[in-house]
Amino acid sequence: MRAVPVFVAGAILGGLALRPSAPRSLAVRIDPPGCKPSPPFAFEVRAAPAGPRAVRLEAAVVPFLDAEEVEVSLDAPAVVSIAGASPPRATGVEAGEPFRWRATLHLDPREAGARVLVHARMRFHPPGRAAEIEGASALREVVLGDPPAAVPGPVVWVGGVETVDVPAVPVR
Amino acid sequence: MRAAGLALAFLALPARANFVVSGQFLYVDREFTFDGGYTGIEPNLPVRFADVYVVNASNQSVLAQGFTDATGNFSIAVTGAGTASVQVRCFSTSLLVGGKPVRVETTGGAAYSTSSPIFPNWNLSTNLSVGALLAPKVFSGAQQGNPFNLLDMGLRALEYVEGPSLGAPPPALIVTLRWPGGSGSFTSATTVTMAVDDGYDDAVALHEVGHVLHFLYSDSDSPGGAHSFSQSNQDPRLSFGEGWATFFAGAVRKSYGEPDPGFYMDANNDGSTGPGTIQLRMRFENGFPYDLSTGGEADEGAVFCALWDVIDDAATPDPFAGDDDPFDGTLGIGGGATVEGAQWSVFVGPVAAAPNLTIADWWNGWFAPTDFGDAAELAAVFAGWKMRFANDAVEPNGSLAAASSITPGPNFWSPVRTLYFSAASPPAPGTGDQDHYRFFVPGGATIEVETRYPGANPDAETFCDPALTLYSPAGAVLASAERGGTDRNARIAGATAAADGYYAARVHTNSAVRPYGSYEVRVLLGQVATAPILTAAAPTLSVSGGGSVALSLSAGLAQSGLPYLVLASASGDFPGAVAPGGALVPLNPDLVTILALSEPNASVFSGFLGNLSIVGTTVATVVLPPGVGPSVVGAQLTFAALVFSPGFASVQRVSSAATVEIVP
Repeated sequence: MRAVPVFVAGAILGGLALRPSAPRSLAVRIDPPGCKPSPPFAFEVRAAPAGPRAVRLEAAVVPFLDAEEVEVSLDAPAVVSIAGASPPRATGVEAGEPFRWRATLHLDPREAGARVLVHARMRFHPPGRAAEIEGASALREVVLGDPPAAVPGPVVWVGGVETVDVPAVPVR
Repeated sequence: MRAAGLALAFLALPARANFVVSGQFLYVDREFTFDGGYTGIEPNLPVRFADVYVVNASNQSVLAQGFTDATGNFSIAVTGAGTASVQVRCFSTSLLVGGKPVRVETTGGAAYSTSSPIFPNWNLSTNLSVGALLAPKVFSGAQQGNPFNLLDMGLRALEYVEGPSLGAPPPALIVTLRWPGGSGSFTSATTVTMAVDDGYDDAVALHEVGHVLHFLYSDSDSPGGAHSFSQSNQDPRLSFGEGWATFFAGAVRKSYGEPDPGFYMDANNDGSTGPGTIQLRMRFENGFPYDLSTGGEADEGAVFCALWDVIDDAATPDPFAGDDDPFDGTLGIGGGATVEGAQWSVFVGPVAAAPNLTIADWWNGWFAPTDFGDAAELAAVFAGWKMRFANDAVEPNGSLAAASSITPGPNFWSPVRTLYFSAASPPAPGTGDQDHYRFFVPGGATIEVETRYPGANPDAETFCDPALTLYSPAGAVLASAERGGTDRNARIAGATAAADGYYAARVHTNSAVRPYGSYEVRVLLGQVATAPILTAAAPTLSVSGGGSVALSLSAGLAQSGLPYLVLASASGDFPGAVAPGGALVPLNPDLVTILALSEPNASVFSGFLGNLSIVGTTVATVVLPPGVGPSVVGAQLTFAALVFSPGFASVQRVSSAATVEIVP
């Protein structure tokens, strides 16, 4: 019986160790035709691999009206640390002026396929209006690796038809 | 013996019998308000017209099928024999009842179902009442939704279009809604994908279903892509598609008696409550909170606010007393039709047939092939949202012969004009309008003509795409421009007047997508050689405030020190008069001319007679003392200057005209 050469075994093991954390695909959502209205600002997220467990992220937010405050935040369970981040908040951003947030996200290798949701939120104070209008937020997602199936419940087959079971609760 | 054998055979088989399974399915909804977002109130609503299967729980084979009624109740006869573990499943589909096919599924294509407890070893000859069963919220991560709420939205939409007012036939294809999707809700053909945080956002769901019905019953030319409120310079085809879908969401919510149906709201569904859950909202009645920045044919907010004004009425349950707009949604259309039915007829008729569909096609379609009437009220509604589908104040000026006068000068942008003209009744369509503007230019002067959006709005506020043509006094084309101004606006610069005379600019459009629109136009003249340019410092003089307006005459160095005379008139600049020696003067003499000539340097007409400065300039002043009566309000005072040879021997040059309007 031939043994697996040590360097081959090491490469395999190394690959196994690294693979879950390596972003195999990075996707930024692009709204197709017929989408719901966005808040009144342009929002773009770019992401690129920055190592086996890191993603370099840049979010650009361009308010269409003068904004009192612009803030970018993350909803990202897979991110264990953030390095090299620029300030995530700015005040007094003029209409058409881009606000950029850059950061390098270090990822939990167990979370392959997790989504990083990038939020942009802002408060507007349009000219001619005494009171500010409400904040608005938008999400863009960066998919790290293969996204997990988002099926909220067990799947059963009824008469040969696939259905997601939502067990009902007796009311009375 | 034979009879006994048959009896034994029956005894050997399980008895086949009919029994009835009944019960009710409900689902957990989440209430929301315009100001409060999700309120925390979570009523149990009936699962209406959903498919119900009675299944054998041991192998999920189907024993019988039926559907819930409008109250969520069902009663299904089952043929069976012996015993079985019986379970009832209500699916997030409405296919069995017929006529309003809707399916809610995961993004993987699996439908949802909610299930009763299993009733083991149920005697299939005994009726089974499963009671009232409540489909709880469904979670995707922290986000909540309910497929039965989305099913209800799909059904509400089809009930609206198939109802007696609209009378649409059942759709040929199934309306499919998928949840949970990603971070944005969108629609492609007949499939809606709802964002993970939109599972309870009724207005978002109905907006997306509106896209589906646009696809099924009409025809959209929207190029798609990101869009937003408070944006008046989107692609007008996108803005109609999105605006109509949002309007549709409100119309559906109004149709089933939703309190305060006239708004759009996109909110977070992570379970939190209060105003902080609101991500995006806008009222249809007044555009709040984007009321100050909503308007124009390419603003989706203006589209849905105007369409809402058409169908709403004083009885609409909203926080606004009365109808709040010039169009009463209860107006009789004739032939038993309703306003909403007329809107639908336009939508499935001329709107469906229009190439490059925009709100302008909806406007045209209201009047032809069927005239649904009330043109003045409809025009007022649209104008309220800065969609000006009406002749402007200087129409008709569709030819050089009918050109309107315009005063050259840096501060003389015209009032808002429209590329719209119809002399018909009803006044539509208004396509093909050409607006001509006439102005006097002394030979040698340079000419610049430019258009801009109303008020120089950097966000356009119109979908107008104006083009310009410049004509000589003989009607020859001197220059033309499609662009050169800000954004889509046109600008002609560098043209030179070969001789004294009335030149003209034509504003029109070459755009098939933007047939109408609003614009302002301005003419600038440049002083060259001996061409005298007379410019008013302001376009108006106020009766109540009094004051003065300076008239600057610049005639060139070559005319240094020459005598000049400023003439005045209240009768306009065309066709003008002929001065001694044959020079054309852009002013129609009248009593004001005589008055000014009699006292050329008196208090009202100061500096109207004198000698040019060493550099060939001067400033005359027209002064309006306080207390002048209101009878002069509206008068247009026209001024033109004559530059004479030394000793007033002859008229050497005639200036351009300047006009000042007397205002309250």
